[in-house]
Amino acid sequence: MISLARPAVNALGLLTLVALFVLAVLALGVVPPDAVQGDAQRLMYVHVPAAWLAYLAFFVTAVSSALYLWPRTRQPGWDLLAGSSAEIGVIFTGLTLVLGSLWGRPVWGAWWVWDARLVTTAVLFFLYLGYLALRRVPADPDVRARRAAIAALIAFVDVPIVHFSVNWWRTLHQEATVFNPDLDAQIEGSMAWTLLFAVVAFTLAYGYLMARRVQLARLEEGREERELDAAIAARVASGSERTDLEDRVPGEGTGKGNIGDPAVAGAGEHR
Amino acid sequence: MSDAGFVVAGYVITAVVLIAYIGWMAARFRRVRRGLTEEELERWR
Amino acid sequence: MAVIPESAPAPARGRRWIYVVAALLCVGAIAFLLLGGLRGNIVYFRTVSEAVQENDTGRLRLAGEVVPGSISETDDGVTFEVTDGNETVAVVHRGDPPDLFAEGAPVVAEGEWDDGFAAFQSDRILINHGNEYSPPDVSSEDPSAEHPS
Repeated sequence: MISLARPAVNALGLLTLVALFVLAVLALGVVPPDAVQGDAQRLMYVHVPAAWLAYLAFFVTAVSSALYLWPRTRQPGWDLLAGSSAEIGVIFTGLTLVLGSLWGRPVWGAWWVWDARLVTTAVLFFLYLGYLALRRVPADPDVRARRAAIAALIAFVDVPIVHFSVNWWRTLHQEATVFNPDLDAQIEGSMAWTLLFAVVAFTLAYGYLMARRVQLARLEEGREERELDAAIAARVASGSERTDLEDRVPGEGTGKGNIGDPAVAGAGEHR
Repeated sequence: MSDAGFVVAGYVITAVVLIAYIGWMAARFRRVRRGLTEEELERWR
Repeated sequence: MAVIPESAPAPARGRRWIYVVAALLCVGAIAFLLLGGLRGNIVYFRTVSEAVQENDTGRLRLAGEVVPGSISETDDGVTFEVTDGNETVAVVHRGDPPDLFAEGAPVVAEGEWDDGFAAFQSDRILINHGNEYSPPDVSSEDPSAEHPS
């Protein structure tokens, strides 16, 4: 399971901060404005990487969910990773919509239009918001994780639909600049490099946010498991034989140097 | 609003969203750590 | 270690409905977006040629480039010609066109044909810009790439 030591997470956070700062300087100060769109085009350097980050996050959610559903790789950690990544994906899908709206108003002349790209992106937002709600509907942990994993795989169908919507249908939204059908990027060099840097900076941000979010999820999971243990212990003590849950609790198995991982520490040896 | 206004709004919103999310996580970290035993806190550190 | 009392699942059951309702609201929002918003818009615009051939009554969107030299301001808007290379149509627009509206600009005009299909009566203009980006100084060969102001 992916887990970084705390100094590594802090270093990643610092690197992300520097990268985002450099991006702001490049995108707002160094790179020239667009011939047609003027300064408004500078929103591309946050709108495009935000959308990329959302795709990446939902891809990680889909892969983690598949790994949870496959019995041979089933571990609670995959479910935790899927949920953490989806949360970040939802935030950046929302950000993509807001930034797109701010870009659309000066350039298209509209905050919002009902074209296929915008609508399928809004659908993506609500699909994964619904997924996050579904994750919180209480149930047995394994049942909850399985139904979340199935929902995540269904929701992921919309990601390629969003991406190819501008090629499949006639939209007001332009086609992708770099990954268009002809792979023929019509973008001047310094703008292209700034966009590439922006994608790298946002990918770093994803790495940092994920590392933190997974740390947090494990910490909270550990607490939940201890509370569950306590509840079971209390019921066993009061006479009702409910020990069936106990075998599954230490499931967080790999423990690859997870410094201070209470999901392992809390559920495992010292209980 | 001028073009620059939309751009600044976009970059400010991006920064605020990132800071708010990191801050929200930090608050939850604090809340969970308060519930840990001394031994577990030691392991966490 | 705090022991969860027997009644612990009760608040969880109360919370359960909040999240079930939230998930259902999201499904509702998706249905609204797809059925209410996207229906009829999956092909967002007609080219000028298609619009001339179809001669549809009712609202439609017409896309093409603004013919250079055809723009003239009126009391309540602008008139101009829009072309897709094959067909050219006169557009009477009421209201302020967007900032990037200019000669040669790729536009989408929303409205309907007037009686006799002589001109297109538009009440909303959108700019349908492409995915090409360049700084102002290297764009002189493309007449649509001039800054409008």
